Amino acid sequence: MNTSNRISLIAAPLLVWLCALATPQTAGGVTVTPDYTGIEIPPNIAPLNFDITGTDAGAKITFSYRADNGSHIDASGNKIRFGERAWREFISANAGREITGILTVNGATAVFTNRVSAFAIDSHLTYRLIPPSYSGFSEVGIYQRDLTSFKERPLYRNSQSDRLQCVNCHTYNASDPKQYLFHSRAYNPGTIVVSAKYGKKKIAPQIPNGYKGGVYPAWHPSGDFIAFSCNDTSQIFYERNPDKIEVMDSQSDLFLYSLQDDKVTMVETDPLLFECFPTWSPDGKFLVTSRARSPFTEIPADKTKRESQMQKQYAEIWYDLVVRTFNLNDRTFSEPRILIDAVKSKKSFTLPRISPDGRWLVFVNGPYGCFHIWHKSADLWMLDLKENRPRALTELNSTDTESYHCFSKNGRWMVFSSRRDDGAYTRPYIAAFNPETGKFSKPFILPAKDPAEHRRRMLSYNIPEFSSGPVKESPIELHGLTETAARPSR
Amino acid sequence: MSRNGAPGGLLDWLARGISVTGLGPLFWLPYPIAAIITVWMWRQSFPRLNRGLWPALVFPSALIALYPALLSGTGVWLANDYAAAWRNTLGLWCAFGAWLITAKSKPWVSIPVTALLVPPLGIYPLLGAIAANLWMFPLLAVPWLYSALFYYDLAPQYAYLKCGSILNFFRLTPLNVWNVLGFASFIAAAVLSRRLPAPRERRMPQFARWAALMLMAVLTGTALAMCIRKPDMRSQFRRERAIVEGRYADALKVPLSNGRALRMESAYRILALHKTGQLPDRLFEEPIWSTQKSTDAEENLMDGHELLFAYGLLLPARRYLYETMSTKGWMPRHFLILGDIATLYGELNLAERNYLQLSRCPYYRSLAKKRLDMIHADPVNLPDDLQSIAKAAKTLFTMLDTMKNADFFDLNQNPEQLIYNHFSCIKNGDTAEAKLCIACAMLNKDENLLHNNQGMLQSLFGVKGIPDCVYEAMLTAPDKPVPAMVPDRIKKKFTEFKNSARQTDDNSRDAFINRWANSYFFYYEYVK
Repeated sequence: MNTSNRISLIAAPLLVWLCALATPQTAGGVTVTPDYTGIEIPPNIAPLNFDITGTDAGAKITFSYRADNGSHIDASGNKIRFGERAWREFISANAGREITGILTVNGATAVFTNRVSAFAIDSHLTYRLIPPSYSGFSEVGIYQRDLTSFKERPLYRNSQSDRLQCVNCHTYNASDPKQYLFHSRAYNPGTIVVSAKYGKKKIAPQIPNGYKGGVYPAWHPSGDFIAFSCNDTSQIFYERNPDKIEVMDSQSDLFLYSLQDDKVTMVETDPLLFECFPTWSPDGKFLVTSRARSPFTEIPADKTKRESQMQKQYAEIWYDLVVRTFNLNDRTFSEPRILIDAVKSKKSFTLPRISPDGRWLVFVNGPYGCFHIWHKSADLWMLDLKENRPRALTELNSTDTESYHCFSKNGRWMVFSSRRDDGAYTRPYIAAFNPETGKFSKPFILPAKDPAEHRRRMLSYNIPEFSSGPVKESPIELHGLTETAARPSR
Repeated sequence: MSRNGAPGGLLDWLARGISVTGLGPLFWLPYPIAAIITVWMWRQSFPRLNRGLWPALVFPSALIALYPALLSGTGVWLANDYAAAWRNTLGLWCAFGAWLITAKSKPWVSIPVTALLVPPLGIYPLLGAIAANLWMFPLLAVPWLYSALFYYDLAPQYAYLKCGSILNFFRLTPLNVWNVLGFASFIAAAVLSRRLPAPRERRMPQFARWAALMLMAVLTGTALAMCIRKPDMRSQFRRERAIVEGRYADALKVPLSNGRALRMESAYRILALHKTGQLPDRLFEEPIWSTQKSTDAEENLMDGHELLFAYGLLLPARRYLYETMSTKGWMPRHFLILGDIATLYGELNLAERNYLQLSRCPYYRSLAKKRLDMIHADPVNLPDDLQSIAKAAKTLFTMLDTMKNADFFDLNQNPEQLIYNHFSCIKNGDTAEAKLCIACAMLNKDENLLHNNQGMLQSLFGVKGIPDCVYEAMLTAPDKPVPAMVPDRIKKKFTEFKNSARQTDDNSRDAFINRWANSYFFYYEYVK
């Protein structure tokens, strides 16, 4: 065990405890839960209801949001709830302004200031709800939440099927609800693709080297291609490490799938290079991926030996960020160029996503490997592609895991998954982004009608993805697509 | 075929307690009991059958209502899952009780009684009530529809409904919808046939009997075939049977599946190692279990978290629990164990989340409240960097008092010993756990453990990094030589403390407390 692991083992319980102490205190020792203080609010988001904790049962509590134009919205009691219509009118009327929250508990007053952004957030958020399990599963579903209200609807629930299906990796093309895909895995495997141009179909890319299909996807902005990494994934479990589990690829390659003619073009097949998490630049001219250089001289053909070899040295598998230029005419890519060298820093950089203006690249910085959702030390970082300067997003990070993230269509908001609440259940957090300065506002948790729901719901929010509207397809139609035979590629 | 889940509540506790705490030699007992109940109910239905057509429906409704229990009993018999065998047998007794109550009393008595029995005992009383009175059959729709509508967000207090076998049997899938429609058509046909002439009435009971028997035969045959076709279950069966029958050495001889340990194989091997006295030497030589996907065989035997938790292997126990909850549904005990594990690791937010869920389960509220009070209590007054771990350790000791009277598992009654055992084999390099051991020892005023492991302390903290309070604890041992590693300033401080304590009177008491309250010397001498 290396030194950093030892330190994290010692520090983990202490940090969790400190994290518990770090909730905001406002008036007379009372706490606003969730922490909706000092944040920037989208002008079209559902009411940010919150609870007041740390008071006596009979405490007299009033709360009011006030704006300098005289408008206000009030609530009382230890459960601060706002009417949806009144809230919508209040924040839309104050877009671009500061609003002051005035909390009074038994006569003692505390004040905090929030800002209502002038920029709207995408209206919907899609996520997969899963129990925090590792290999067994029974209930998995992809859901879409209307961010302007509290409505949540399933896109696909695997209980619709007699045989439990596993669905994952839902991805939109630039937040477009008419272009998206997800994989169905457990039986009759394939990728469900819904495209305004090419219709609805289930594809099964035929890839050499024994891969079972595409894994991590990225839509080309044109909607004509999808870049996939193909990964031979396995798990190992820790008996003692609080990180619990490693998910590792014993081999992984990269390919391009053309929706025009269902043709697969292999982009990277070197067995000593492990590719994953492709993402396109907004203009579609560049493809950024995470790519590890193997510390081994050869990769065994036998899967068990391959996994065993990888297990032994997994703490030395570091993923670079690399970029390739893409020639749309002949579907070719340049040789990869390293954006951030992982080996030099002995860190691993994954999940790159580029802001819609093409300047900022947000990624996850973890100790090693590619599956940082299980690394408590994983944090969000950002690379300024103009200045080529990376920095830790300290304004977003916590002492626990930060991982998957997604920009809104206008580039003014980012949603990311975090385990800061308790280290086990992932929750989506939202933060405003200023593309001029590259700074984020303080993040806040997805609003809920009853904020306690976040503690009651024993499911993780997996892969939060913005979309600019609701998906039109019904769960029954999507279920029908998962049941159809996949179209083989050419 | 996967094993049906437990009905939850008291039956679950009883069944696990019986199977884990030494009634292994009686593993055969559930089956004759279940057979006696089934035959008795069969016989009871004959007089009703002879009274005409409508009572004849009692016969198929009884069998079909109890069918999920019987089917899961068959399955667990095949899988040698003794806890589940007991659970289903106890469930059948409950069904039998509900049958009697419903048959012998008015509906205004039997319906509320059944409703009261379902929360602690699960779905079985409802099955029994339905068996006695067909008019209770629509009540089944309540949990069924509830789970169909709220399957994902089923509140934890209704978790027993989710994992009760009837819901697995009647999940809202297209196949089961057809099953239910078929059953409803069968009842409708029988009801309509009441209007037919008498000769048909005599034929109908025969038809009902044979139809029900055919249905059972087909479903049981399918279940049998599915079990027998699983070749990878055979070694699991051999190992589990050896363990239940007390042949632990034989259990260790059963080869691993595919040359590596599956999850439950590891759990049972650990139990066998413990029983044969080899655990301390061989625990960390056990092959790491690595699975790409869970197999049906593993899912059939997925109570491993109890074993692992009992042996203090907390992280693997937690992982098993998450798997179990994901695949089999939630039970109150799951939240309890998850909360306890999180507490022991100092993950108090996570512990709170689980205890809050537990507090929403009927019959567990007071237990949950005690746990919540523990984790909200003020930390122990230890002035060092072990504060949070010491808090977890203190919570552990408070927790023990509660658990001693509340748990069936003998090993759980002495987890501090387990932690010390871990400390003695800390060669796995788990520094967090070692620190927890130190905090336990200090809170227990067990300075011998620190004395006897000075090398370990140095490797944990570094020669210069040992906290002052640990040095202070080493000095408090009355009959031990002062270790050379204790710095002079600590020795001087101890001398000063002893002098102050000797000279303190009522007038200087407050000053003494203010001066020394943050030292381990003070804790050792004065804090109970």
